[in-house]
Amino acid sequence: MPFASSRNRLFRALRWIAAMLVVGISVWVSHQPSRLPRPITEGPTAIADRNQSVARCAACHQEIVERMKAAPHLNTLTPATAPQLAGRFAGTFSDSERQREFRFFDGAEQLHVTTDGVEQPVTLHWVFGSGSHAQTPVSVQADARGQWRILQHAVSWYPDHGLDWTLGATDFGGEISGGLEANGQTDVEPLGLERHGDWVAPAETLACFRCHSAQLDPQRLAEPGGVQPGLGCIRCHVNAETHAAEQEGQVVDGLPPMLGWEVSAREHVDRCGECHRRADQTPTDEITPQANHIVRFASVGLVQSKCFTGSQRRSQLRMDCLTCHDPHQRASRSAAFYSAQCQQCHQRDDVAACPQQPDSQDCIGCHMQKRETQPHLSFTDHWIR
Amino acid sequence: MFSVVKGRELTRSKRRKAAARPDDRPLLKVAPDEASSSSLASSSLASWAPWFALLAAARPVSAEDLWWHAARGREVLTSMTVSPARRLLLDQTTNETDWLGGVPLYLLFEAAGFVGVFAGKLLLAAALLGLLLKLTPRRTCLLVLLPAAALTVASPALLPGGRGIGLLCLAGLLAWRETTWKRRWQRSLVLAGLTCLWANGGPLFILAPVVVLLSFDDRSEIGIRELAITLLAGSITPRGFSGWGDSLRLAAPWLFEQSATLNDTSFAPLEISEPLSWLFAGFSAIGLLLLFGASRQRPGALAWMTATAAGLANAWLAPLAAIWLCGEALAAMPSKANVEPSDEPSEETRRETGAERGARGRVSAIVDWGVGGLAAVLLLAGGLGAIGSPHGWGMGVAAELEPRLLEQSIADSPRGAAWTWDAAATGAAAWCGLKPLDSPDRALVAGRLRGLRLAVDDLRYERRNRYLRSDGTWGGWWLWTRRAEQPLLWIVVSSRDVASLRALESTGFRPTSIDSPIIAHASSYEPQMAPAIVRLLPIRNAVAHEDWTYTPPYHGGLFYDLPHFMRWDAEQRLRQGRVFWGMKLPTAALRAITTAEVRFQPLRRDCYLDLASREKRVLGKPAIWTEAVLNMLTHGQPSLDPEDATTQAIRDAARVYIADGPKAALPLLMSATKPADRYAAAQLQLELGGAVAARDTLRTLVEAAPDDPHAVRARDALRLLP
Repeated sequence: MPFASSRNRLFRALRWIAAMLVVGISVWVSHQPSRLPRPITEGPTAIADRNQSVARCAACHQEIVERMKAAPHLNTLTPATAPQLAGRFAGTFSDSERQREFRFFDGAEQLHVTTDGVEQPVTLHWVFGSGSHAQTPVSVQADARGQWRILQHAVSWYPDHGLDWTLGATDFGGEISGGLEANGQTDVEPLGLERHGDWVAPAETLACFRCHSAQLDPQRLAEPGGVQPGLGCIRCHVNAETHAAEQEGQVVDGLPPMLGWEVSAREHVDRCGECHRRADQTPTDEITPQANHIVRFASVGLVQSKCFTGSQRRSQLRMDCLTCHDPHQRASRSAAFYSAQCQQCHQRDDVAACPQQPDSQDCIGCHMQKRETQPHLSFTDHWIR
Repeated sequence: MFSVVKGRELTRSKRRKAAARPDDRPLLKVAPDEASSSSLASSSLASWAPWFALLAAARPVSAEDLWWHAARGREVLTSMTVSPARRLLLDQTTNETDWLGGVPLYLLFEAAGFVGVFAGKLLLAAALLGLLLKLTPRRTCLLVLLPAAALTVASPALLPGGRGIGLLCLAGLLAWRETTWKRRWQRSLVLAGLTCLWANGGPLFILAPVVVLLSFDDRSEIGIRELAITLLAGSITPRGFSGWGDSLRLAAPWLFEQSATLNDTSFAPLEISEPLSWLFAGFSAIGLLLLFGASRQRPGALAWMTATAAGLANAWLAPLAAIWLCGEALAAMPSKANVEPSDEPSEETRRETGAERGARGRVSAIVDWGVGGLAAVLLLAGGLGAIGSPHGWGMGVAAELEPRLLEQSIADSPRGAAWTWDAAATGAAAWCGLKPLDSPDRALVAGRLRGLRLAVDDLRYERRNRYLRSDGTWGGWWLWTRRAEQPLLWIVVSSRDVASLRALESTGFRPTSIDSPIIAHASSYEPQMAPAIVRLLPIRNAVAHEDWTYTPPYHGGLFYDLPHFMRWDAEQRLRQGRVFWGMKLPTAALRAITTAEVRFQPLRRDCYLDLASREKRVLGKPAIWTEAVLNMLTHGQPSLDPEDATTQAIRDAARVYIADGPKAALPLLMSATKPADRYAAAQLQLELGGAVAARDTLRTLVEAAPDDPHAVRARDALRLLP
């Protein structure tokens, strides 16, 4: 019958169309491009200018931004072109015992350094550290594969001592000849640029920048435009651009929401520990009350403290980094301020008071003493004991 | 097992059609004289089929999951468990459906070692061939070439275990469908048995109900009842009904995971760059051609579409899809009965003129020859691709899956937690007694694949410590590996995963072998691992900085395994060179590739980039020789600036080096006297294995021109030499 025949043809056609749709959809879905998430500091967007970025936040949060400008967090990385650096570094550092001399000078509005045995002066690109404890100048250089490495200079600036040897500098060239030293060749002579300091491997180089900048382009570490130095707002308030756009009345569909900080106390400390070191990635045998070097890592010590572990067991108590520190401003130097924070818990009926001096205005003088971890460097021990 | 319609008997569907529509005619009718001439009908031709199939299957077992299944089979038999993966992995929390998948493989290995595994592969290929040939009674060139081409595409899964069991069950299911059964309960029983075997032996049994569903026909004997039997029989596994979800995840991972997660895994979609995709696409085209000329339009079209889509979207499923396509194509072929004149030709047939019948015959011939030709091209392409490739012709087990060197390298070290991420490394680690954290297939089933993939990404980008990701999750591979709550002693990597080998060099995990196809890296954080690490240190130093030349190991080989038989070792040299480069031993890598073959040049460039990086760190720029070689490899000329410091000797030597290799280039530099030339000569001496000669050349250079920048480079190089 013609009708049946045409119906069959229609069914056949529909079957083919359905089948083609099956192929098309499955191949399309399976080949949909997607990206794995990246470190927050290596955002896909162009590196924003720090001043512009912070100014955008200042439109609503001016008071915080003003405080933030003086905070070490915002100043933990400085381009070597910054004028204030010349006063700290310009000059000569010499060590007669090691028979080494380094001459820093400001040329073409950028810091340079020379030393014996290397003909050309080396250009310094960045200075790491806010200056609260120290500042270390570095050069960055892309290797033949396009990966960036830091040449961590052998001389740093200290607030109390001026120029001195960088702590931990090997004087063996770091990555290149450090391996030789490990193999027992202790008389390795530094050659060429190694005489300026230690080369840092590409991955470690990126790790350094991740904790000293808000955003970076891993391909452009030598350029000021490739790095947003210092921990600006967007470093911790991830995807703050979405929040800003929302406030400015822009359409934000599809943009990731701003990362919230309504998290547990441990997660909070761990987030700070991303740069200040997390306890869970410190070898357990290193975490002992006697270990002096972990004093440098406040977030490791804090979570060992009885104050912290005790607060974890009580829902009405909470202790994290914000209990005592506002990351938007320089940490207080007042012992009374910190004692007041201690008293918030230790004046409660259900929390034990200090058996020695329950009303003291200097709790940290006994319970959080300053300890020298290396020459010129002292830190407050956050393992409260 | 099957009572299959043979020879000149009518097929089931033919009989069915004849009963339902007596006046209907086959869609493709061929005049008898044309048919016989076009189809190359001859029993002698058909008798070649097994030989072609043997040729297609006669390659070493290359299934990545070989040792994973073998380890599971061993666990089932020795521990009498129904969830071997749970015992083998630290992360596994649920039972697996295909718990029996490794038993035949393990038994074969126990019985006859590598020969047993290979014999199992051949037996599997023979069984597949037998089942496929039962799908059509016709004897044409297609019959010879099509199953052989299917076996070529299915080669990565031809294994007497795991997906191999799935191949067999799928072919069995297609044969079941095309078979006329005397009793209905027999039909049901065989269907249930096949599905149950597939579910307990192979992971992709979700295809069984799909095949049944696509075989529905309003006049068919296959319907809801058969579908229900399939679903019930497939649920008789240690996972119960949940097994269907597991199988769906494995068959269509793109429904559950983003493509970025699946990339670089076995479950990624077929990419144009992969040879398998071309073979598969060609095979799919054959199926399409046959369906256009098919004797019946029924499920073939939908099945073709589904198989093609499934294979394209998931490379892991492509071998099964190829067998499925082959089965559908053979089943859709115009049967011999169709092309013979019926006793009572229809009115329409009677009206058909001789010219029209001839035209139909010619169409049939074109389809036959077109399809046969395509299948031949596929076979040829597969065969040519196999020559010299890691999966080339030969016997036994593919060299890249060889576990004995791994066993040796960890022999006197403690076993314990091992992090692995590909099936080959996971299998080898489990087989050698290590305790892998996870395996890719179980991770996919349990929804852990993304975490595994991100951790591997972190390792490759050397992101060890915790960091916040753009999606608010925590990255950093170190803590990810520590969730097992026992110390991670090993990271086991396939030697072809050069990116990971290279990244591991920057970690606290050190390799325990330089030439094992699967390389175990021991944790230097654990004191008990020290002997395995220390044992390799002098070897690493020797291959890079002492007098040493690379000689590829001879694997034996057969007359038809020409590259191995003739000792064409370029592939082996390249493989070893890549491993050395991955271990950041560029000089050793250059020592493995001392000839100027074109295929070596990308690796040579990588090595010279490494050398240039080191030189740049000493003096701010690479040596002239290094720059000249890199310029030759990138721009085809030794210097981009005619006025630069490149000496004439280096210009000439760089050209000869790229064209004829280091041996030919060395004399050009030995006769030159400038410091740059001497430094270049020492580099070539080192490449050719002469560390002492290179040392002497460098010392001469330092003494002759102590203030030259090349003397600084020479002193840097001398620090590494004996």
